[in-house]
This record gives sequence, structure tokens and C-alpha cells, in this order.
Amino acid sequence: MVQFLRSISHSFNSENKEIAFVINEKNYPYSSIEQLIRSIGILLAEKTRNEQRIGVIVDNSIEMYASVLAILLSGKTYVPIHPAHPDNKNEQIITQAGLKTVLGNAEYVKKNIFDSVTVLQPQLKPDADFEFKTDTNPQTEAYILFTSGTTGVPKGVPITYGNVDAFLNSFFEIYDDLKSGDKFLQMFDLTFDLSVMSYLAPLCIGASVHTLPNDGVKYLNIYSTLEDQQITFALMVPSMIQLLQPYFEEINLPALRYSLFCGEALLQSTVKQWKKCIPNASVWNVYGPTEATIFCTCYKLPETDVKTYNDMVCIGREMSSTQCILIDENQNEAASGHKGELCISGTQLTQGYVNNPEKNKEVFFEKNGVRFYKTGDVCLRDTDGDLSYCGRTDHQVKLQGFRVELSEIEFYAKKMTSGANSVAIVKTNAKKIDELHLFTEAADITDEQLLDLLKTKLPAYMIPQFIHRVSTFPLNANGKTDRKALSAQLPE
Amino acid sequence: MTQEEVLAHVTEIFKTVLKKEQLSLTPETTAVDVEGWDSLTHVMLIDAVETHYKVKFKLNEVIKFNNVGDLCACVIKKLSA
Repeated sequence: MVQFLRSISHSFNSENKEIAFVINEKNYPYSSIEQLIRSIGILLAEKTRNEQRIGVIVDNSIEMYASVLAILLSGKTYVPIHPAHPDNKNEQIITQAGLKTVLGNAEYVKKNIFDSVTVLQPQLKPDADFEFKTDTNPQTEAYILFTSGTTGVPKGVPITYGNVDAFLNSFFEIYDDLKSGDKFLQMFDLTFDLSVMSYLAPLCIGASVHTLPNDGVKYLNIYSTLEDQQITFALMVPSMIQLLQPYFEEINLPALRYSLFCGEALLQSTVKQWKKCIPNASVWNVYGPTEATIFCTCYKLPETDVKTYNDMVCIGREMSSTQCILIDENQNEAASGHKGELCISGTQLTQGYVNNPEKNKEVFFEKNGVRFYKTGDVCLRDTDGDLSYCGRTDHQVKLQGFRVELSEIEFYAKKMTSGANSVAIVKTNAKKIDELHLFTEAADITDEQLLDLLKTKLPAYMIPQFIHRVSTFPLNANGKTDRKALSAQLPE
Repeated sequence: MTQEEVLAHVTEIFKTVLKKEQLSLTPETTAVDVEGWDSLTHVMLIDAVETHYKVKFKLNEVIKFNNVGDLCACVIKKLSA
């Protein structure tokens, strides 16, 4: 039995007049969406009888959310495809996931990337008779999200119904006073797994999901939505409040009850000021990779003595479905009080990447019969059992919450410049905003030309804000490119 | 200072920040019309405009910038205040 499917099918009934979604200032009660979900469910039953994985074109419409819900309530697997992402990336996703059918808006269908698949347009059918399926096998994949890969090939992370159920059970154990009147902010694209919590948790309890407008600038839209729609529960990436920081003195959000942060380091110096803007909210720093389903550790910030490491707020302890260990380079558990690579096990953990045995072998391992995932995050555990994030074992970074392999940017920059060496670096500016810099040896291409070429291969959040020309790269004592020396050349 | 003069300066600022030498702005241009004009570059653009004109925008002003024309109008209002 999958508990969350029973919960959402209970919420979506013709008698429920509560608001389920607010999208572009329009309210959609649960009762009004139920028939749309049933219509798409019938469409899937008729047209995709033997297909498990179904693509969904991301566009922040009620049809998109109804499509996702219809897929879940059919026991199938959704794979989001973002029309704004580069075509080659979407083609790789369609191929890797083996998609034959995509649900979505006709306006995107003209793109060649959809030539190889059947595109079904979600439409309301007043007489559609489709029964919600709630007895799906927990081992079945619920969704697959693709993350940045070092050589330009995205990695598919399948998450099962059982994984989602384990997450939601742990989530509601902690946030146990959430109820149907609560209003949840949903600021994430469907390609980002924090979206799953932001739309699914409220629907489980009959609360409302408030998405961001399609136009405008994201961090300003977030503020407007928080204020105008009296949001009570907001999961955000820290960079959004970093961008709002110059205006904190003007912000007052008394309706907010829960302010959660995930996706990148939360800075205590910023959140301390943010707390003054949200007098009635508790602040939580939550942590988790896509592979461990949305988030799996959490830390409630106390009024005083917030635990930090280099100003980064502690990521707390495991939620109930998760166990964490820290290991050293020999894969032995790190000694108490020592840093180690964070490894995660438990019922939120993915079964492994799609069609990628090599990567699976590299990052999943068994210890005493328990399967663990190596996150690449270096952490420290204190005597209370709380974890602090200290850095990475590789060159992966988080940009606006998105997981980015710097080597993927370097890979394409090199390819676009006939093999000129390139190094990507993230540097935090004076306003504590992370900026992406690309150093390149390429001399016969303008910044604008290089950026235009990169945009054909990389999504917007991976496009550098600054390009610097170098004749040679500084080397460290090991003969490797000295990234610290490059970073030191940039203004503080 | 006229709207045309401010628009011309603002266009130069946008060209530099967004690294688009051929960029052309009108008062009706919005973030959706310009590739690369996102949250992060918006902060950089606002910052550059504030520095250039030695003005400071409030959040309730920035929120109402629906297009480049609104931004220019706010600059003019602040300069004449």
C-alpha cells in the first residue's frame, strides 16, 4: 500500500471545495481538478497501456500538475522535460528514459526534440470514468529526475513510490500540525526534486499549492507570492533570500509559520536577519541529495546558539527513514569528531541510476549488509549527533540550488573552443551571492560568442556570469590547475 | 534627464552586465524578452543602475518594475526628487 496515494485520492473528490492550486492568480479547488485528473488517467490508460515511463513537459499550468497526478494515480512514472533546457539535454533524457509518450502543451510540440515521441495534450472530458489506483507496488518508479553529469551526459535518478512514501511519512512526523488551511509555496521547476515536497505534501493534507507567476524575476515573484498570498509554509533555496537581503528592513511576513531552506549552504549571517522578517515562523535547514528523495536530515534553528561551520548552518540529524554514517578514504567509519564523507542509507534511497552500472558501482556500496550512497559531501558530526556540512570531495557545486558539475561546464567550454583549456569556478561576491566564472585559454572567440555556444548545451543556471582570459593556468604543488590561485585573482 | 537619455544609459548598462553588445531595449522590454535576464543578473542590473545614478531603490519600487520603462521612470523620479 502506498499511503500518499490514498491521501491525495482522498483530497481530490468532488465534495472538496478547498483550494488545491493557485497558479497565475487563479484558484483551482480540489473538486475542479478531480475530473481533469480522471480525464488524463483515461487518456493514459487508452494510449499508453504498455508504457511505464511518461514524459511531462514543464510549464506551470494546472494541466501539467493534473498530468503528474494522473501519472501517479495510474501507478506510472513521470519524467519532467523542461522546454527551456537545451535540446541535446532533453534528447538525452528522452533516450535514456526510453520515453515514447509525453504529456504536455501543444505550443512546445513544434520543437524537434519531440519528433521521436507521441505528444498527448491533456484535456478535460466531463464523462471520463477513471478510478484512482492507490495499490501500486512501492518498488515501482514514481519519477525520474536527471542531474548534471561530469561528461555532459545527465544521470537519471529513479525514485520509487516507496521512497516518496518514506519521505512523506518522515516529513509529517516532524511537521505534524500542518492542516488543510495551510498555504505552501511551490517555487521549483518540476525538474528539481524539491518541487515534489512543495506540491505533494500539501495535496496529502488538503492544503493549497501556490506556484510562482510565469513572467517576471524569480526572487521578486517569491516575495510577492509570500506576501500577497499569505503563505504559511515555504521551502526555498537560500540564494533567494540572499538576493532579497538588501530589502530585509522592508519585509514583514507574519503569516509564515515554517521557513525551510534546502539545496545549498544556508548562511547564519543571512538567516539571522531573515528571522526578523518572519516573526511567527520557525526556521529549518534541511538537507538531502536527489538520490535520497528530496531531503533526509533537518535542523530547527534555535533562537540562540545556532550551530554553524564557517557560517554555514548545521544540517541537523537524520529523519526517521534515514541513517547516515561518515567514512574516511578507506571506507571505514570516520573516528568520532573527525570529518568524513557523508553516506546515506534507508528507505528514501534510490535503487540506482538509470542504465549506469559504472556510476552505480562507484557511489553505492554495502556495509554490514546495509546499502549506502556516497554523497560526495564532507561532514562533521558533533556530540549531540548533529551534522555540519564542510565541503565537497569533488568539484560539484550548488548554484541557485541546482546541482552542477563544474567539469561539465569545462567539458563544453573546451569543446566549443577547439580544445582550449577552461576552468569554471564559483566565487561568492561581496553581497554573499555566488557567481560563476569561467577562465579560458581561448583567444579567438568573443565572450558573447562563447556564451551563445554554451547556451546551446547547458541550462541557464550553468552559464557563467563572467569570462576571464588567461594565457596559462597556475599550477599547484601536485601539478594540477590551482583553482584557489584563480579564485584569488577575482575581486572579493 | 529625459526618458530617452536614461533608456540609452540603461541600455549600455544592460549590454555590459548581460554581455550582449547588440542588445536593444525599449520601454516595453521585460525580463522574458531578454535571454539571460534572470534573478542573479537582475540583482547585478539593479546594482549597476543604482551605482551609475547614485540612487537606491526600495523593494516596493523594484517589485513594480514590470518593464524597462518602469525602471527608467523610477530613475527619473529619484533624480528629480
